[in-house]
Amino acid sequence: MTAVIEFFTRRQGKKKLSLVDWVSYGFLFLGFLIIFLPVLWLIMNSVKSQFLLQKYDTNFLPLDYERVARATAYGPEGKEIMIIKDLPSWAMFWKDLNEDERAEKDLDNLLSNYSGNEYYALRTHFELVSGAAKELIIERNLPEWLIKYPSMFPSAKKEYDPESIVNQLDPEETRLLSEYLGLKPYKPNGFTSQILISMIDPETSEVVEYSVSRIDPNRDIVNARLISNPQAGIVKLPVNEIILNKRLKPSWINYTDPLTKNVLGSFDAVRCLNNSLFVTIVATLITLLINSMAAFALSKYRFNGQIIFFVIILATLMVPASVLIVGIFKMVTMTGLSGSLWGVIIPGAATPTGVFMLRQYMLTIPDELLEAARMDAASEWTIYWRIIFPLALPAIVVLGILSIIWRWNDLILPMIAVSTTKAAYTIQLCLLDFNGEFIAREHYGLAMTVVSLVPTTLVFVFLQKYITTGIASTGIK
Amino acid sequence: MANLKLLDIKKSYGKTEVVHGVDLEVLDGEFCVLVGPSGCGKSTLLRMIAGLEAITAGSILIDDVEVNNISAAKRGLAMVFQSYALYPHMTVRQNLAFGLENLKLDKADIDQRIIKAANQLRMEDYLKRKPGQLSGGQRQRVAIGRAIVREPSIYLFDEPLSNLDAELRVATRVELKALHARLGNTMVYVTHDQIEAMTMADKIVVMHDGIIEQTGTPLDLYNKPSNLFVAGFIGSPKMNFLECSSLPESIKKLAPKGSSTFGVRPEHLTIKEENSIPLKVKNVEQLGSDSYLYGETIEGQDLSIKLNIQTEIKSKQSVNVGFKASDMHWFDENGMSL
Amino acid sequence: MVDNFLNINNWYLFSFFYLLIGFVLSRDVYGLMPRLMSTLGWPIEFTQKVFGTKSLPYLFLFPNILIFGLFTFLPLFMNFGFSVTDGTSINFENRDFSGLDNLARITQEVQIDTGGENVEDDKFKAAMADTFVFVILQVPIMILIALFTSIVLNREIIGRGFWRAIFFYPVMLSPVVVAFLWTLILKRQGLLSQTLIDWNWISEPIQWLIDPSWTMFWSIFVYTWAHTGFYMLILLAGLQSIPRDLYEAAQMDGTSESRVFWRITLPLLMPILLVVTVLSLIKAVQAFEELYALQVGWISLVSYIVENAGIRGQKTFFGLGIAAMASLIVASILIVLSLLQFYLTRRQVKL
Repeated sequence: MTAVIEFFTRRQGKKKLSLVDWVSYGFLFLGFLIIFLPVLWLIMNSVKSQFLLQKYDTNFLPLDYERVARATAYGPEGKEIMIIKDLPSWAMFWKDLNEDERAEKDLDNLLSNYSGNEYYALRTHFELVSGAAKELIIERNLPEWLIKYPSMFPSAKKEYDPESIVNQLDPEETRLLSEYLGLKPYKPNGFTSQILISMIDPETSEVVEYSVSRIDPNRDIVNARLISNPQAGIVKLPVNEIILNKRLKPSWINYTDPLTKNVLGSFDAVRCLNNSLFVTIVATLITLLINSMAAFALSKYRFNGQIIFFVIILATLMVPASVLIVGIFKMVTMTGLSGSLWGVIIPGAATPTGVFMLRQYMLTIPDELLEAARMDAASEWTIYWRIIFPLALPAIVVLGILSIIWRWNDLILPMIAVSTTKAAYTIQLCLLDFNGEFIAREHYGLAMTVVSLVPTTLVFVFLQKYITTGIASTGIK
Repeated sequence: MANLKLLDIKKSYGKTEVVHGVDLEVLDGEFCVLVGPSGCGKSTLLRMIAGLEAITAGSILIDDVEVNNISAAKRGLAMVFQSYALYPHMTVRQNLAFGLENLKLDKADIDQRIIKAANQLRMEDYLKRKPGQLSGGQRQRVAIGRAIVREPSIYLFDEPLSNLDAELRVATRVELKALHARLGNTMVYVTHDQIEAMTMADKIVVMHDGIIEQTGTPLDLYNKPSNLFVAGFIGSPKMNFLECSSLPESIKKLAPKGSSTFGVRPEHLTIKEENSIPLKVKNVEQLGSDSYLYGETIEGQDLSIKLNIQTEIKSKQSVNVGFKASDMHWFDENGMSL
Repeated sequence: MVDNFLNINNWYLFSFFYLLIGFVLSRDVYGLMPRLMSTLGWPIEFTQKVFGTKSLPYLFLFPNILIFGLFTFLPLFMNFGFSVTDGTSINFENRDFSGLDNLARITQEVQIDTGGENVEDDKFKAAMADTFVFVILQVPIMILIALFTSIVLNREIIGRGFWRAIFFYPVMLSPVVVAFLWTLILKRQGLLSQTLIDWNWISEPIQWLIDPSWTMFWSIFVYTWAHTGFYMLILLAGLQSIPRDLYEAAQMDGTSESRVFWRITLPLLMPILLVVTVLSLIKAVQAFEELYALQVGWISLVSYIVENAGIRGQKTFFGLGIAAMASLIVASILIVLSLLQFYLTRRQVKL
């Protein structure tokens, strides 16, 4: 162990770490935590299930509890509390699915495994009662007022006598219709998702399973219900003796759902990503082309007004898009680019930073090369793209990378140009609106946020050298 | 094959005139060297011929056709630059092909020309390499090759040897001369080195401060310099100049009327008693084949002597130096030869 | 004035003909890349052939200057136009000239249209004051942290590249992502409140981003978190450009480390430190995207502009004019700061 410490604290031909060194490393490590932990927290949360997120889970890892359903059914025999294990998670969170998602699930097949009170509770949970009841009323030619009965005012209900009709039917039908109409002794059946825990019975040393609704870390006991006999009522268990059946269970559907089907309503994550990709690639190509052309003119020619042009280009640094919002909005509308991705691409294609950076680099390319090319009968356009452009490539790569980052992360231009057209939303705009509107679908939003990080992070990891040299040499982001 | 005529060429940058009316005729197939100290306007003149600089006044004729307003690309010339100006991002082959592609020659023709040039200059081995991977001499060849494949009417060279080391410079000089003999094209060559000029030129043009001082064959310039500047510039070591007033009477009487300066080349001086100038030797350099003596006349004027023998003379010794009458040069007050 | 002199189809049509002409003119060019480039650059090739080289630099500059003209300089004039007119329309035909009314609307106590009490000026002044507080606190804090980090990273540190990358990484994140990252921690039921409750430090969750006593702190914190890396990098480059032998000479003289810092490092770094400070002032005055996405409990100047401009919401009758007037005020602040920056960096720009 000491050898390991020595290895890390050794310094080439120098004495051991001084106090200043320790403070330095301490500072760096603190910075590392402050910067990296939030990012990691985002990534970890993005694979937590919707259930965990809604429970404000503070575990770092996506540790999911094994879950069971606690169902209650009301019938002539009174109230029965049941624990249903082994339900698929989509069934557990049926209420959170939208219509398309529901349509895909094979409910009948699932329900065929259950009978009796479990079946009734699930039937209510899946919201099948009213449909089936209405069907029954029509099929049996029962009076039509029955359909409206559940939504009537109590005073209006008094005029009807549904019980007499219900009692003529067979028991299954009676039950269905009574549940629909809300007749005693039937009440709407309950269904909630609970956490499965286990505890070793002190007497028998057997593992006994319980279900609990929540575990409050500030209290010493949990209220639990025995799974083998749910009717037995609540028992109080000491927190420190229970065994939580936590499992690492990343919820990959957070990613796969938005990327493979439309689960975000009017926000199509794939389309947003494609839009952003299109804007980023096309805008970067245009930026590189026109900025290098301008830089070529400014660095390799002598002409009237050269300095004026250069100053004009640098002056645009002074008035960024954020203070020209109204004017740019007007111009984007006037030029007919509003609502089109081109409205995002074109206004930002000419960058003063790029022209300045490329010009400074092109000044270092010897003029003799251009003269040699002129002797070689090259036209000026040929000189530009066959000599100057390839030779300025180091600077062009830096600008290209910066442009990719600017474009992918940009929010202001998309806000100005395509706010009114959902079809042209970029990923940033999508995330902004989505996270504002669908708090209940946070799991998808978080996953898409992480997806939006991928391109810039990849660029950063592999091309970091170019970015840092680019910024360090020009001092412009 | 082409001849070149310059008629009263002038060039100004803003208000400063750097070339003050140059007239020159380069004959078909001639190897013409423009020589002069740096800043004399020789490179500017070459670049004007090339079409890289606009001329302020006068006209340039190639094969008796005025090309003043024809762009560099269309004059049909090729130029070898001092820095070679090879395109660093292209291979040697691409460097050679670039100009031909711009002329829209067909591919087979381009390949054929490159192979021929590569053969001539022995650079087949590195056609696929980039200039950065070549030695100085190899780069030089590629630069010449790039001119050759163009098959120009006139070749222009802008100090092409100045980036080479001494040994390679001599070898390349010989090669260039051989190339000229083989191609037979008109060549205009700019250098500040009079040895290059003397060894390579059919015709030397000495330039100084934007004007031509003298034009002629190398030996013409050496034997009959038309003025002090040319006399001092051509020949190594430099010609000795003495003021006429300081000469011994025996020599002074030989001077033509109006003489102000007397000149004699160091290699034409010998140690002898009669008809001579007394000299105090300050320094002696022994090179084996030759010996150089540096001394001072009684009047305190410097004089150097080149002897093509090994000598016993030591410094601080006094000697008398003499010369043949045919080796004397006389110049008037304006520096013009008499 | 025509409201829509072009539409997107005209753009497509124009581009199509541009490329078609180029494609035809470049018919004798062989090879994919040469053909493509000739197709793109035909106006320049054509001009050189017909008119010579004199006008070529202007053609090379043209696309860039055109875009600057259309989307930077014309918008600036439009801003002037909007700031002295009233109406919901962005079409100047439907806007009434109103002089400096908009300035009065955001600065005067009395509402000039109704004669009653003015609420708009309170909002604008609050935005000015809050932004001022934000800038005054955020910039020095960030510069100090960036300076300290760069000095630490300039030492003989193991894994310097790794640490530098870590500190720089937040700069790569989009403002929206930065905002979500921190919303996840700072929202009512976020990690911070939950953890503090678990530790029994607080009993009720706190709305860190909205709570008036916390919102400015967290705005500054998140903004600093996101941008420090950028300035750290510039300062680090500045530190590394200080010649080594100065330090070695100081070492030979036995100068103490703190003295080396105050007498050598800091004075030599001062020019870059100044530039970085002005640059971060310029950025902080424009702070908007992160704060907007964080939904913080105060409104920055640019948020004020965005909200009034009605780009993402309902347009109000005076909104556009007010937004334009506020833009001009912010723009003039930025221009002053930028001129200061140009003055400080004038040596880097060879004209």
